[in-house]
Amino acid sequence: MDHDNLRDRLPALHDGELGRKERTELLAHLAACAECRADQERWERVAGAFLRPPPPPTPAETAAFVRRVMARLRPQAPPEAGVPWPGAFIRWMSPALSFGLAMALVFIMWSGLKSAAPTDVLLLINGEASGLARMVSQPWAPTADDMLVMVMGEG
Amino acid sequence: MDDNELVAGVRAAEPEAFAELVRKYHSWVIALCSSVLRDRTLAEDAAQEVFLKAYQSLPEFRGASSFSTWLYRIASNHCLDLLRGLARRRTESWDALLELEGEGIQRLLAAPADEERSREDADLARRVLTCLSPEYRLILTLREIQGLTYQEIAAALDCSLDAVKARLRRARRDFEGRLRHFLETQRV
Repeated sequence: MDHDNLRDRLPALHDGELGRKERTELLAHLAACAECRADQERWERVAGAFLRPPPPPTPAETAAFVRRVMARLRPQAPPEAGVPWPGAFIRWMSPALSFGLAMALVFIMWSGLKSAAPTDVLLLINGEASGLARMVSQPWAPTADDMLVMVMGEG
Repeated sequence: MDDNELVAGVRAAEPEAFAELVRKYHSWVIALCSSVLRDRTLAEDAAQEVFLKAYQSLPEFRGASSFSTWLYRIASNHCLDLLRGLARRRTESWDALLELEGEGIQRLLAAPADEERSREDADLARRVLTCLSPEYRLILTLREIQGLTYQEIAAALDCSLDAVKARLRRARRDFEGRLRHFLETQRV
């Protein structure tokens, strides 16, 4: 392996991520190459100066920490292990069913307002712009009695 | 009891099972939060939040990875979110720090890695690290301070092994680049 390839592997050597064979090869190269050795030492100096682990907590600090976390958990409900079927389905479907029902009601009301005359009665009306046709085209809805009077009258 | 038994205990509404998990992972989580955030009070609060998030998210834990890896991920994400918030509020620039503390930085780099450190030097080391980007600071902490393997870092950060190597390489290059002046001076 050439110098550049070996140099690229220096971080992996520092991190302990090389296999035994690669490690041996790189260590032999380091012993002979001042440039790579300087690279390696430079990073070790930076890590040693700025990336030191903090002191571990004492047992008393851990005990106090556990108490604080548990005190904050108490007001909360224990976590559920997931919502079982059919609960999840119902929870998911409820908004869709409510919306569908609301839309159906709106449609029924709208079609009721549009015309109170049954279709079969309208089909019986022959001729253009008959009294009944004019009546059902009014914005107000005719009653069945109104329509009966009109049909009888026209007949 | 192993982690899986403790997790089952938490799901069965046994508070002591969760207390045991907190006890077991406290030192790891607090070390990560302290190393990344470099502020004792912030780290303590962050560590508490990590465990609370873990508790609330436990129903989503399916056991595809180990509990510790899953907890690493929660802790890493939480620290990263906090760091991004802190980075936005950061006022001390790298250039200003170099101008004010150049001698101190030189002293830190020259000191042996295992030497006992004064409070002032520890504080200066923290200020130097706060100049790195949140992503670089987190990955350097996970690798150099927490000692996680590339595989463990990939699981904690939810990325590929190649992404871990590339990010580490960039983080180290960036850090060394900032300190180039001091490192070259010392070599002469």
